[in-house]
Amino acid sequence: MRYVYCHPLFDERKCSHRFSYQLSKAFEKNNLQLERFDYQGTGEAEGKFCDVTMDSLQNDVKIKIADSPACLIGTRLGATIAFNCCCQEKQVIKTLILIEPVVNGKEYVEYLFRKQHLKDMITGNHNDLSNDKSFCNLEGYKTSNAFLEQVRHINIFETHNRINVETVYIACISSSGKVYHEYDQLVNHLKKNGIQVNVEIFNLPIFWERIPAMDYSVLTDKIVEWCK
Amino acid sequence: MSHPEFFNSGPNVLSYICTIPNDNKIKAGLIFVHAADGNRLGPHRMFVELADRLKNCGIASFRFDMRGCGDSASRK
Repeated sequence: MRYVYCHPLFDERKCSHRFSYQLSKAFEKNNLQLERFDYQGTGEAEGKFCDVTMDSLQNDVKIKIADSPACLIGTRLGATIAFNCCCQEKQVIKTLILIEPVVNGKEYVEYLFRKQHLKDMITGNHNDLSNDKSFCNLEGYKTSNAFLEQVRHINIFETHNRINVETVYIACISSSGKVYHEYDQLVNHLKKNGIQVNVEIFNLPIFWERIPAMDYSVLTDKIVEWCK
Repeated sequence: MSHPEFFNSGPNVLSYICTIPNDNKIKAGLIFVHAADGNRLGPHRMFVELADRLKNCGIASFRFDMRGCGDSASRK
């Protein structure tokens, strides 16, 4: 079985990098290998971020796993990309581990714009990208509006019927100790489809929003346990 | 896609990526040092894109993760 990690995007990728590093080390300790990779136009990969689309992201995952049985682990938008891949692939992805997946694309995009707006206010930036209306600046990334439109259309509750996977684990990062309503809904939907679902709450800071110097072992050890 | 390599810095193993001009004719070298909360990619991947452009101008670059950042270990 291959274990493939799907990064989130934008600053969430930078902030969660340390988590993915610690996760790969936890896998190593257990004689497993976590494959981390960058989608085209992100991280160390070739290409430009302005060319990224949901299709290109999902295609990159598809190429990465090829036709071998795999377990996909994703954080935030990476989790949603992994989820969508399970709606396309047949019998290849056995296990899906979702860490705070984006379930509603519209809300997610609004959230990204709110963050950008705050940064613009702090830095006095006017968010100008040479008057090119096909792109916008999101956390310093030249992002195509076509991609954002695809993200806006993300609605896991509309695609869950097509999902083809044996087991789904959902890691809910919540300091309140409660599972978010959306995840509860998702669990119920998936269970109705005959999929084995486990949801677990982790009392951790929102590590994809800032870079805490912290130990993620409570989450990484649990993920390794799920993968064994 | 560039793959990180590792070097020892005291007790710590740090990850780095070295970008060399294609013809190996190096006019100059540049070391990227990221901010305390960053990694070798730089803010919004700026270091990656800059290293790629510099490569075409004959400038080699070295990007690394400080200890405890990115893919670098932190033992002390």
